[in-house]
Parts: sequence; C-alpha cells; structure tokens
Amino acid sequence: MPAADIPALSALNVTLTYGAKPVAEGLTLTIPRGRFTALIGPNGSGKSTVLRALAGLMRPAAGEIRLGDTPLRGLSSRSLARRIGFLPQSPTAPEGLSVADLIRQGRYPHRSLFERMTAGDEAACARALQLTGLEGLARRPLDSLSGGQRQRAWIAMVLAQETDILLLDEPTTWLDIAHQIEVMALMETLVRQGGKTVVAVLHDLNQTARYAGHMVMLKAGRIIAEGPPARVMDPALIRAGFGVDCIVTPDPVTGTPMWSAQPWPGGNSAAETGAAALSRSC
Amino acid sequence: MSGWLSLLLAVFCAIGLASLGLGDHPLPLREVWLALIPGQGATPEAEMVVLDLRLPRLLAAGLGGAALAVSGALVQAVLRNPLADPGLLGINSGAALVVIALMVLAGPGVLALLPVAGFAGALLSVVLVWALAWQGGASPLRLVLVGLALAAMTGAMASVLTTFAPINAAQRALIWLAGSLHDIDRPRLQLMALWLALPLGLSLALARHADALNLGETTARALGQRVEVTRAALILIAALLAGATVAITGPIGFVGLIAPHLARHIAGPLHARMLPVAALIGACLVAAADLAGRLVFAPVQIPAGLVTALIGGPFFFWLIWSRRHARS
Repeated sequence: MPAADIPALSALNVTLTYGAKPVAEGLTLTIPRGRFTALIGPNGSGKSTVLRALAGLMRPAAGEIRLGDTPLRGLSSRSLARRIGFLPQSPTAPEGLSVADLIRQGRYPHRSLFERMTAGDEAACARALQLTGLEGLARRPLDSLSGGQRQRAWIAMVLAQETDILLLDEPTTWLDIAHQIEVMALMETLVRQGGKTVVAVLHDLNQTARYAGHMVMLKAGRIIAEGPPARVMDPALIRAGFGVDCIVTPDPVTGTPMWSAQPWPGGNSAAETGAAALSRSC
Repeated sequence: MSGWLSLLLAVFCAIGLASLGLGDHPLPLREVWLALIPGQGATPEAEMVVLDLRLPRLLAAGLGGAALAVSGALVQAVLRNPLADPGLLGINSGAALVVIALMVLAGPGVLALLPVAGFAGALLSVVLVWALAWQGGASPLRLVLVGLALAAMTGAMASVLTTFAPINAAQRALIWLAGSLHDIDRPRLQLMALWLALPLGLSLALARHADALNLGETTARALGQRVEVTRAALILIAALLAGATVAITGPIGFVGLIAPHLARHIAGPLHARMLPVAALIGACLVAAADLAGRLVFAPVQIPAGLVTALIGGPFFFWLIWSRRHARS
C-alpha cells in the first residue's frame, strides 16, 4: 500500500486534445487517496475528458499522468485495468446479457489469454454482487432491469475488477432522484467502508456536496476551484464557473453547503427575461 | 444449454441420415446403417454411394455451415452489429474473386490451392478494407461502408473474369459461384477440415475477448483490452473460416447471418456458450439446404447457396419484423 500522502492519481501540467482542438492546457490536478472526489463544471468544461485521461484511455499531448508515483505511460493496459476501474457515461451491453455475466466481465484484466475463471474470480464477482445489493437479480437480463438497477449492475462489473480506484463518468445523469441517491450512497459506502478512491463526474451540486469529500470545479479545461465542499460551494466561485448568481445556505438535513439560484439580474425571473426578449424581437 | 446442443446434434444426425439415404439412388435406412459400419456386409454399391459420394458431401455441408456461422458471429462481434455478416467486410467476395481467377486462369487441377486462394482473397479484402477505413482506429461504421464498396467492386471484377473466360471454365466458375456442394469428394473434405480445425478452435479459445469487445470500445479498453489487436485477431479468424469454406463450396449466403442470430436467442450473447450452438445451427442449415436442393426438383439439383438465399431472405425479413414488434 503506497503512503497515504501520495495522491492516488495526479495530472502534471497536462495538455489534452481532441484531434487538433485543445480541451485542457497545462492542467495540474491531484486526486486524494481514499476519498470521494467529484468533478463538476458546466457542459463542455472538459470534465469527462479529464476523467478519461486519468483512466489512461486518452494519452495527453503533453505532461504526465501518474498513478501513485508511477507514470501511466509505463503501464500496460492490462496492469492499468487491474488498478483503475472506469465506467463510461452510457455503457451498452449486448441484448440478453444477464447481470451475473456482465459482472464476470470485470474479471477480464485478471485472466491471462486462455485462462478460465478461478475460485478467486468467482469470489470477487460474488462480493461485487453483494456490495451492490443485486443478489436477487443476478440471473435477470440487464435489459429487463430499471435504470437504477442497471447502473448498479455496471458499477458491480467495475467493482469485480477489484481496483483501488474507481472512475465514473456521470453515473447519476440518466437516473430519477431515488436512483440518484441510491448510487451516490453506494459510492460513499465504497469510500467509507471499502477504502476505495472514487472519482465521479457529477451535475447536481447540492447532492455532490452531501456525499463527496473533495470537489474539483472545471471551466474551459481549467481548474477554478478545488477542495472540500465548504470551500468550493461559494457564491463567487459558482458564479465564475456556471455564470449563475446564487446564495449558499446550510442544507437543512445534513448541514452541508446548499446553493439556491438568485433571480436574474434586474429582478426579472428567467421566464420574464425570455418573454421580454421575445416581445422585443416580434 | 447442453440440452440444446444435444437437440441440435440430433437434428443434424436426422438430416444426415436422410441425406445419406435419399437421392437419385435411394437406399433404405438399414442399408445406410450397414454401409456406415465397416465389415457389416453392405453391398459395394451402397458402400460407394454412402461413403464416397454422400458422406463427404454431408460432412462438408456440416463443416462449412459451422465455419460460416462462427465466422458470422465473429464479424458481428467486431462490428457490434447483429445484422452484419462476413459479406459485409468483403470477405466472401474477395475470396470468390481470387478463387475464380484461379479457376479461369489456371484451369482445373489446382484443387489444393483453392483454400489458399480463398483465404488469400478473404485476407486481402479484409486488409484493404481495414487500411481504407483506418483513421487512427477502425470504426465499425467506416469498416462496413468501405467493405460494401469493396464487395461490389470485387463482385464486378469476378463477373468480368467469367465473361472473358473460356466457356468451360466460365461454367465451372458460375456453378461454384452459386454455392454448390455437388463435387465434394474426400480429398476436398480433408482439405477443408484441415483448414478449418485451427480457426474453429481458436474462436472458442478467444470467446471471452469477443465478449469484452461486445461491451463497446471504451468499456473494453477500460477492462484492459487492446481493442485493435482483438478486432484484428477475430477478423483474421473470421476471414480464415469464411475464405476456406467459400473456396471449397462457393459462397453460401445468409448462414453467417441467421445462425448466430438464432444462437443468441437460444444461448444468450456470451460467445463461449453461443458459438457452439451457432456452429451446430449452421451445420444443420447448410446440410438441410443441400438435401432440399437435391430432392425438391430432382433430377435437377439446386445449389445449396441458392436454397439458403431463398429460405434465408424471407426468414431474415421475419426476424427484423418480429424484433420490431417485440419492442413496441
């Protein structure tokens, strides 16, 4: 086990590009070990790209990503997959695949070219099934499950990978609020009880502030704030990141910071501004 | 699962017994049975018909059907499209072009070279398709589009070749192009078995790599798969299977599409379970098509490739139709 003060993952002066278009330049970021880190920011701020780069799925054009103190570049894709689990935004499975069979795919990086499943592989799958509370659904086809159950099944697949680090790209985006809370609580449990390092791209700031211990706010490929929710959930920072005026008050249930939008400048609500703009243009 | 495998095996045996007994020279079941077991005192005539004529043909149909089915399943895994088949990547038509060129330009007596030619043609097509579709990676959509264009081109070149060929060679080529099993003999069967054994075994050994690929490129890479290497390996095996089969039997369509499709309904999407089922379904389909082609318009023989197309086309429409209605 590496020392606790070495970050689980770090990006050093990293430039990320899609084709010729730069998404992030000179980005430096550390992901604390054993914590739940949330990447937040407006659409197009580069959250998902940064997450993919941290997972080693995208090679930086410049700079270096490190896993502990090892550069990612030097690791084979298989040894990387034994240490970092990654769940894409909307993963797809072939029709008729059962929950249990999906979870077994998580053992892929632990088996050599022609090796069969071992007792250790089966045990890892059973643990993943139990952690996500899917024991009763193991034999069900994935396409017959609700959105929340399906997302838990995918998380179980990543858990079966038995990595210390889990990276999840918008794991709650397509879920209703009940399932969002379920997935957030699961991630928190993985960190608290499982000692995992979890990084997730998330959209709901108030929910994030309740569950995540560390927040990183990105805008246009740059970090504009990072730290505990109490520091990042700041009216000035939220205004800088999202362009929204707000006040921040303690969450009535948890006491964590909670933002509420201010009326739009000039005292008009958004709808009134829109209506005014419409009447002007007609 | 194993119940399905035994059932399909029984169906193949039933089709097999019918194939061995029925035809221009019908034999009673008892006579077929005696001929199959050496030293049981079958008439030399029955022995000749069963062992030298019908059995190689039946086994070639089974083997070819299995190979085409597995090839189709692998292509579907690589393209992540259950409606794909080896023809979509230009595998069949590439094999066909080189085989026809060999038939027309080199004449008869090149039997041993046929699988080599088929595989070379299939491989050449696949490499060309891959190279033309490559753009820092080969996306399934670009592969299909380039494959279709190349298939049309090689198909046209094959037609041009047969047009200018001497009449005998052209006729042979045309019969072969329809996908006929009628001149299968033991040497051809052995050649086929020799070429297909390794890729059939490999496809099973690599089943779980195809499974991971089926979760999508990003997930597969996150699981530690080198996606381009896996795709290339699976396509190579698919080309070997389809190329060697097509070289001996001619192009037999739709099996590579239908058999994996049915197999997925029965065994689910995991390849270790699905491939054996697909192989047996493919074997049954081609053996049944060959039997039907021999019997229905006897004494005229319809090539198995035409029968699979005649039955396979409507079947495919039905599949698409039922899938659409199952969803809504």
